[in-house]
Amino acid sequence: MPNDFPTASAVPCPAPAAREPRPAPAIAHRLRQELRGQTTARLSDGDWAQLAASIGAPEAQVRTVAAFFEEFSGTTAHGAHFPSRPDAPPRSLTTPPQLIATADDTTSAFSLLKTLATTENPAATLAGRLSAIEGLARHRIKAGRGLSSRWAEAAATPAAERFVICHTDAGNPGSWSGEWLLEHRPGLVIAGMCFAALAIGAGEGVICVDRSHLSLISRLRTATEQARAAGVLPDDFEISVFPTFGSPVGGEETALLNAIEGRVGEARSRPPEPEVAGIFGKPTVVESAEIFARLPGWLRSGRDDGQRLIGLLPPFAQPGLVEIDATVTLRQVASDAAGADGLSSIAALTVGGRFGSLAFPEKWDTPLDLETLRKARIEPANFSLSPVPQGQPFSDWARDQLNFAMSETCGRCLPCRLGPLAALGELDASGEPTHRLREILDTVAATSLCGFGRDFPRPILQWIERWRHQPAGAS
Amino acid sequence: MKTAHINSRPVEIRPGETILAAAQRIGIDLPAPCRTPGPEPLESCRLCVVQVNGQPFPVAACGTMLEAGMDVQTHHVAVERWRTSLLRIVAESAARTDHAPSRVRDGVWSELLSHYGVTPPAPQRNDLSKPERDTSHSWLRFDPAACISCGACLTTCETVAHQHVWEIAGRGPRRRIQPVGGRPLALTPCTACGACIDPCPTGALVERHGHHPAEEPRRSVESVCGLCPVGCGLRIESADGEVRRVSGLVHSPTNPGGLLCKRGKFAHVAHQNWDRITQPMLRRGAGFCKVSWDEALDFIAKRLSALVHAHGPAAFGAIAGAGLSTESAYLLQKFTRSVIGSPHIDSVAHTDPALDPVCRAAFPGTASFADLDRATCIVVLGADLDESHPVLAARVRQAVADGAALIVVHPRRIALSKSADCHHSDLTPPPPDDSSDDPLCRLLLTHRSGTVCLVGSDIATPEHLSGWMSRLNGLGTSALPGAGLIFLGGVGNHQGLLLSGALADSLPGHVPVSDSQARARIEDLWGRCLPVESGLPLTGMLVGARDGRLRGLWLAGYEPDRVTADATLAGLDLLVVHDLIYQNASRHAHVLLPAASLHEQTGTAINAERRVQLLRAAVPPPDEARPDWAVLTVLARRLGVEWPYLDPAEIFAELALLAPDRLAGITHRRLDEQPEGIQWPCPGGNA
Ligand code: SF4
Ligand code: SF4
Ligand code: SF4
Ligand code: FES
Repeated sequence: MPNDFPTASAVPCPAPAAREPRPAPAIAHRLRQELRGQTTARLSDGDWAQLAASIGAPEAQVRTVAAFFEEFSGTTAHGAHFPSRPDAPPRSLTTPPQLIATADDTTSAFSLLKTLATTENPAATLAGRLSAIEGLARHRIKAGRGLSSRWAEAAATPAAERFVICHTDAGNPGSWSGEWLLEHRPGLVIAGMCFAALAIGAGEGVICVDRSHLSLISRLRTATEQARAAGVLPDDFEISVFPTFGSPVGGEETALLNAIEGRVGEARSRPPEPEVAGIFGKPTVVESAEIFARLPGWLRSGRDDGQRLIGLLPPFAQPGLVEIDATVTLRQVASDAAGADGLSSIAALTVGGRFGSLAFPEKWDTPLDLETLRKARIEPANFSLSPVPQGQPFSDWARDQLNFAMSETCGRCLPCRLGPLAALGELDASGEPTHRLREILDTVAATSLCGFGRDFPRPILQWIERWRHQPAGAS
Repeated sequence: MKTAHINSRPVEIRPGETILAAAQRIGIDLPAPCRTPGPEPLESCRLCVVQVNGQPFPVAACGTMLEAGMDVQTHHVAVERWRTSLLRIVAESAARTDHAPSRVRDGVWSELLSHYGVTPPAPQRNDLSKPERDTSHSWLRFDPAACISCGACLTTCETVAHQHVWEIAGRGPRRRIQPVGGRPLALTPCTACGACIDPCPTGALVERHGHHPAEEPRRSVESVCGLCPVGCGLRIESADGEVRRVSGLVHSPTNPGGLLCKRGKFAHVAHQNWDRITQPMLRRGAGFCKVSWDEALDFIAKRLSALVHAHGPAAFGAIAGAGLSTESAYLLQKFTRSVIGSPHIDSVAHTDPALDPVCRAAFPGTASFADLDRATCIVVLGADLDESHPVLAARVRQAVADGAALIVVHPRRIALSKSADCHHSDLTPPPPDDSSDDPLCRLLLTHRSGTVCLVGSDIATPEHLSGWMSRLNGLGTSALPGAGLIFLGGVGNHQGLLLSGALADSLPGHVPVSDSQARARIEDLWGRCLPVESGLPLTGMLVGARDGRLRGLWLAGYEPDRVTADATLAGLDLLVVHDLIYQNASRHAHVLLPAASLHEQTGTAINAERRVQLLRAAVPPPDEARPDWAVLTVLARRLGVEWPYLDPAEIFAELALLAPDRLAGITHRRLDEQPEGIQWPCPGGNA
């Protein structure tokens, strides 16, 4: 019997290797492959077991993912009521118009990329140029920090891999800019992503498109090929297009990250910010298509005047996209969208589409500049705008807002999952903005896990503060 | 020292500590319903929110690290208002949706409701439409109408138990946590480990049996589970002399996260529901009658003396079963060898033909369970862990998820094979060949260091085992840092039974009976002569009982199957059965003695990683039941041998003298102070 162990052995041996966690299967992606456009509605228990086996994940996890996304569950509750983009071409309120008037011209962007590539340390050079762009730090703030410092953090976080994600802000009604840019300025978006990849040293780029816009995929492929042919794609940088599985939670980017990983599209808690631990826990910069499309222009001119494409939602007389800069005021935008006399029929503007903040007429001379808006106590969740018509009854409007919240929330955290429901109950019971209704909304805004739950109650609370139970515009 | 402030009190920063943990450390009570023992905070209930200076929004204390300079307010009026309001939101929603709880009656949640003065949801008119209470499972009960869909059960099941029983059905307000596929719990892969019960804040998930109101005052004792050689750390809560609840110790080295298996979690339920023997009983005709201990022991003493007088001491034998502490097993063999003078003593630890020899070897296993958390390769050799040692199966799955390679060698495809990189159904190791393309060979070669090998009793023959050991030795594996072997016996306290000398061919301390010097030393210590030959092994004793070579038998917690019992035990002059319940062997017994369960006695058990652990009595044995060591001590006195033991600690001290290489330096007192137990060789032991 082997009583002789353990014996020291003469065999030379390497030290134990470090363990690397195994990647979990990307369940949603595998589901898409396996289901091939079908929904799970008619699967039997046996089918599920088989599905789980071929995906290589536990059945419970597969079912959970399938139940979350519309593509698999077949529900249409989420995002379905979003107005679609009007056909009219974008208008411009800024001179000179930037993205709208120019074509998808990538020549200068590509030549800059080439020049950068020849410098000794392209990432550092680029970082220097980014931080030197005038106005950038002021206009592109997310989670309290400017773009270049966020990217610098992603570059500085030690990691084997880094990611660049381009999203179209789907999940926000009226965020049509991403969609328009991917359709009309794909080259610039790709060029912008190349800059980002260079700046942080990313090996992989993902462009998320809504699954109702699959036609964009081929355009983006062509644009990527062109960039590759021009030799400006940084080494090892691969760009892929990811059609989402369904509407992400109010455009919450951490929910989007989960979806890209193939997991349930619930929001994640922060910190960590995506720049530190994003996709698969790796540093990730997540920006809208607009940021990427504008980046080459900023680098060329060295300044950023806060131009944006903003969505004007119905019931504006002229809904659609309009390009503005940071000097354009809310009033200018609104009168352009509503026509000069239309303005008098508007009681307030919702800055942020359906959530965000209400801007009342006395604040309409505020320019659409992040800092100035915030100083005016207007917290824009995003930059789409919708009007609250004069005389709109409170309970109709509030109900609409709450139903919107209910259809978008991911349901991970209690306040945001049940808050809208409780608020609706309160509203139904009294038809009035009771103290309790305010308390519910305040609680949801204060305790929710992600930005969506914090943002959707605010306009309702602002209405109540202003008009109590009266119709919009009453004094 | 870096500090932060919680409610204006300075708190020292500890790495990786959340605000919640730090607050609890300094005695601040925060509601934290959805916290789980797993590594990832859920942050779904949002009741633990606290205010931190400079942050625009309150943060969840359970998921936010405490950082230097933070100034945290945990019970600010605004925060308390939000908490109250949140509880009300949930209660009010019950009227509007089936997806909010309408029946919360228990657990932390109902305590919070009453603390914050929130009226629980009134029973709803549509209560009948709510999903039914799921009573399908033998050990758990699930009431969907009490569930807040926090996900604590799901996360615990996935990250602690490594099972996948729960799913989230539906998004947003329709989110509902349910057993996979909406099936009854009994039809899910649930292993009944019970890990998900404690984290459930609402009482939606409760133990099916013995669910008692939490308000009653309970006594709580930390002990270990002696039912298998994993030796999980336990907290045993009792009231009125009955065990109410058993839960795992989160920081135990043997079952991190507090995972238990069905046996450890629910053994007390079985003990309480079984028809325990609680009184000594003597056979009267076809039945038994209750007698006092005096009568029973007098009867045994008289019969034993007569038997030894008529047939010689070797006509008596004793068998130690799995439920014995090391001390009791030691006394049983001492009783047999020195009081009666018979060599026939053996234990169930002897029944693994392949493992037995190595486990008695000089060094039974070199690795610890904790090495699994670092190993880069794990070989599971002849052990169906999900069946035999589920807690280890979970630990192996965690290691695999963390990146360890897994090789399963087993004649059947076992549950763990699914997670394995390589399943090898041939128990013979592949020949050493460094250039082979066989995935097994490649894996072994790349992971020569950092390989931990778990050896179980399905390994069939000693040859297979020695083949594997020399294969691993040939690679230098077992001697390398972070590498080693663990032998998993099938029964609880496997190594304790072996070490105590309750074996046919070895004396305490793994000394062969044939070693006359060692025998003389023991004779000196005991002051009695010992038989010089090895005794009959367990099976041999049963045969001997059938053939009439043995006339008397003592079964301490040993239970043969029915056929064996009927075939072998019927013709004895004296059969003493000392056990918890009336089973197969009892049907032929002359004397039935009531035994104490492992929750009811003090003693030690030794687990598969050579960890000596202290069993603490959580409740007294019922009625007249007594632990084996106590009964044997009294009986020995009746037979004219005075043993001085007052408690198991003294017995252990004597055993430690006889097994200095293993137990030197270990005492009950030290074990009492070191809740994680002591692995031999014991540091400072030989000083
Ligand atoms: S008892 Fe264990 S296996 Fe069963 S559901 Fe709970 S945690 Fe999962
Ligand atoms: S059963 Fe309990 S732990 Fe599981 S989701 Fe419901 S309330 Fe939470
Ligand atoms: S694994 Fe073993 S020691 Fe742990 S609870 Fe189960 S039987 Fe007890
Ligand atoms: S305990 Fe922190 S969110 Fe539930």
